Amino acid sequence: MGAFILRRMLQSVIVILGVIVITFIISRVLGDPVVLLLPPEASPEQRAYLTKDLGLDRPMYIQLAVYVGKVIRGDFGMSFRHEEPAMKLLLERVPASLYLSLVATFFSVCIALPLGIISAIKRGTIFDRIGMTLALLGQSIPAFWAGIMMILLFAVQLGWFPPSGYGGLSYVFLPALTLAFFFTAATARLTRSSILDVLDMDYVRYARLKGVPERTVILRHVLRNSFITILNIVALQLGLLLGGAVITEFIFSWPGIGRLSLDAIYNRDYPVIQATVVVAAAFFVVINLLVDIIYSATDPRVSRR
Amino acid sequence: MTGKNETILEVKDLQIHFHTDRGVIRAVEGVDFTVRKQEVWGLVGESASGKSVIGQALVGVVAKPAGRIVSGEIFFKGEDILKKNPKEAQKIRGNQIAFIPQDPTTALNPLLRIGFQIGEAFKYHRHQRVETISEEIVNVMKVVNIPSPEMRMKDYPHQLSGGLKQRVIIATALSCQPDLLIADEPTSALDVTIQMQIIKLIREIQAKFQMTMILITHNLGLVAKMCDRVAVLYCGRIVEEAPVRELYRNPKHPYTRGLLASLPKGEKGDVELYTIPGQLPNPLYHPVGCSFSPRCPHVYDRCKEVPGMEQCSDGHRVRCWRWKEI
Amino acid sequence: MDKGLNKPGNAISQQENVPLTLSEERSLKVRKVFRRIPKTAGVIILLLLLCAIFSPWIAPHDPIKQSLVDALKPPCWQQGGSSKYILGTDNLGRDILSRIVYGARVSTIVGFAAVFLSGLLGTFLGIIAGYFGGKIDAVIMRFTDMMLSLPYILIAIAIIGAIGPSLTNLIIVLGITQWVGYTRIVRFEAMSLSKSEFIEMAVISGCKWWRILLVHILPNVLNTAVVLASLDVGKMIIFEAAMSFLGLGVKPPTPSWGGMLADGRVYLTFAWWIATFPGIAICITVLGGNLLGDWLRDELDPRHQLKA
Repeated sequence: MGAFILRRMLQSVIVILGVIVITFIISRVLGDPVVLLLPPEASPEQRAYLTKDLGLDRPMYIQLAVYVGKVIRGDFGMSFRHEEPAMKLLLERVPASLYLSLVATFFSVCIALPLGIISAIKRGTIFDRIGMTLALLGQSIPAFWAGIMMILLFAVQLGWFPPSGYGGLSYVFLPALTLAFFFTAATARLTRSSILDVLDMDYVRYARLKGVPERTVILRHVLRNSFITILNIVALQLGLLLGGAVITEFIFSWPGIGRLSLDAIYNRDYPVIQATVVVAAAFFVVINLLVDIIYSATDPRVSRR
Repeated sequence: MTGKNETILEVKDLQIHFHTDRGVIRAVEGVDFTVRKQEVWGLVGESASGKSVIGQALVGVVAKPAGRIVSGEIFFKGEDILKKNPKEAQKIRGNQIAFIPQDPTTALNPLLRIGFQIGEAFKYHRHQRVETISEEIVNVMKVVNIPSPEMRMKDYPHQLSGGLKQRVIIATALSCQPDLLIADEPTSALDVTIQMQIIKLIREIQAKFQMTMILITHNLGLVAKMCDRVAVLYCGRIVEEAPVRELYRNPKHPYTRGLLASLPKGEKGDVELYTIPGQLPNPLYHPVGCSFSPRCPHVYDRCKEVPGMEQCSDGHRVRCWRWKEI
Repeated sequence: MDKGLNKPGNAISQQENVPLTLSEERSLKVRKVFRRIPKTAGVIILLLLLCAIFSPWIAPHDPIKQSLVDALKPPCWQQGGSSKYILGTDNLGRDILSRIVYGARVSTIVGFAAVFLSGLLGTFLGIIAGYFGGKIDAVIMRFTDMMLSLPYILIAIAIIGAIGPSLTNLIIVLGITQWVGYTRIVRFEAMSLSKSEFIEMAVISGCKWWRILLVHILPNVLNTAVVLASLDVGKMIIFEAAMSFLGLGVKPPTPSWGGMLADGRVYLTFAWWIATFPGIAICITVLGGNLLGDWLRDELDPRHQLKA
């Protein structure tokens, strides 16, 4: 088990480093920081000075090394737009995004898991068909349009929820629901198919053969054995939510990192963009690593050799 | 001997179909047999003969929704278990009728300790507390010769060898002291050397507990060693049934004869093995009439009709129009 | 005495068992497959393609023509609407229905082109990783992990934000961010194929590696790749709509469903139809794509053979 975890941690580190390199490459390809920072009337001397000051005259691989070194310590440089370190700006917004993501995941899990599990157990019945049709519809509806429609219905027409803004349950409800939309449908389908896979296993049939009551068979054999797969699915969704909330945050004016990065992109504020991408990616990688650690601890085939 | 000739199981006209996208597979087409107390009854057939399905039907685990028991009755101790509601059927499974599946590796849940899995049936049928159960589990593990049972109880399936896993399965089957034990190819998933051990173990257990046993297999040698009576299954129908010695000495059905002829007999020198000509028919399209007719050396026009079962001598019945002549 | 099988009813059921001739069997198979073609998905996709290809003939009006006098007209069944503009008009007096029909072009092109590009890339990398294994596999897999962890929406927005929105740019960006889904699965299949005997035979008989990949492995993973692709079309169409919604898709005045949603959002409170109908169009189209993908997957997966 120890070897497995170590290997996975090493992989995670490599992936994060790779992401950092990729952000470096992309931002260099997309634009020269000097051009962006200085007004167009700046003189060549001013440009030369800034280039030297930012270390942009050094060879590319040195720039890369310096960049990576800084990023590892959390230093993304100063935002081009605001007079603050990019990382600081980002971290200020992370709680809001995290809050939204967690609520969305909660909604998603509450709906998708029971739907998927019961559809699988009652495979072929009307419940299954209706459930999976709903899931299919959910996957076919663009989440941002659903968000707009919900604003139209619940906020404008019915006035149950405020149409935008940050706050407690009534403010987070519609955005979280919108964010959860696609993921709920996908999770329901994936849950159903992984439960079906386990239901077809010989040991489930064997447990029935032994005369174990069906309810216990489901709880002890089916659910326990599909637990880790389902956890994987949910974790994957959660990991994506942090970076994927851009449009939802935009529609609902939610002050999270998605909104921040959108503004940054419009303003060509590269340090902030880089910071957002790296943090979102790191979040995803860490969550997957946690899931793998849980897996290695709970599956006896891995935890004891 | 009391109860020796009493019937414990009677199967009447069992028909099981599987509905697939490509058509209906008639896996079991009208099977009748009886099994008496304390005897070892063998069911022999090739793959796709339907033998495993019959075993599954007896324990009530025919794969739904594709598989359906179309008609028939299974009388266990006088009651038709097919007519029982799920709760009653569940009380009998694992408790009075126990099953030993073919592959011990896939039959065990990889995430649960084997001690627990052995005791699971016992727990649900006897409604016992955990403390008494461990004793019972250790006892039954000793019966199947699992070394250091107290320690091995805590192991997980992947830590056991194939032979040990099969012993675990056998222990599970025995745990509730069933009246009827059904073994579906209990040795085919094992190495040859282990097979001998397991066969020996099963024989000992059967003799010691005087258990009624149904052995489902394709292995004629195994049948010879273990069974009292045996039935031969071809394409979902029983084509011959007799006491073991009688069947081997005096096979009446052309298929049985072909099977016995294709056994290597330990002759010295270069001897070509006999094989039954032709191939197994497509399970979707069984031949009209006697299913063996396309491959039978004695086929004639009456074979277009399905032959009925006829008695040819005491305890020996056969399903062939021409058994008297050949 | 065995009585079961000689019942009179059995004579008829036994006639069913007469083996069919080869041509009879084949035509029976064809008829069976045809019966199973998904009709809903087929109709939707057909409609989409018709709209995309024959838009000038299907759309009642010119989608770009503005007519401020007719601006913000509601759909024909509401008060103030007319049968001239069945689904109403937007803030510049453009007919919603016509814009939806023309919008199908953008969605179709982006959907299929992006899927094709990402599928090509992903399958290519997957085959190489699966067949060669070892270090090449490790490198490709780590690279895949990196791409997988990148928040693709952000990356897409950032890149398009920098290089400028256009149809081609959108297709390229979608292609280079979405290939990951194919690689993992194709790699798995390629790996198991590579271990099979007929590949060994090909290697032994001196077949060059690129020939093996092209002729032996690719056709066999194509099944899976096609299923994945069909399931992805819907995702791409939604992605395109999202980009257009943010103003990073096709440039106006070319009608696109996402762009219409962006327009409509501003007027949501008093002209709900501008945002609603394009969204419905997206839903129906993506539904069709998903249905098709599901059908393909069921057809090609041997496990799903048993009918309920």
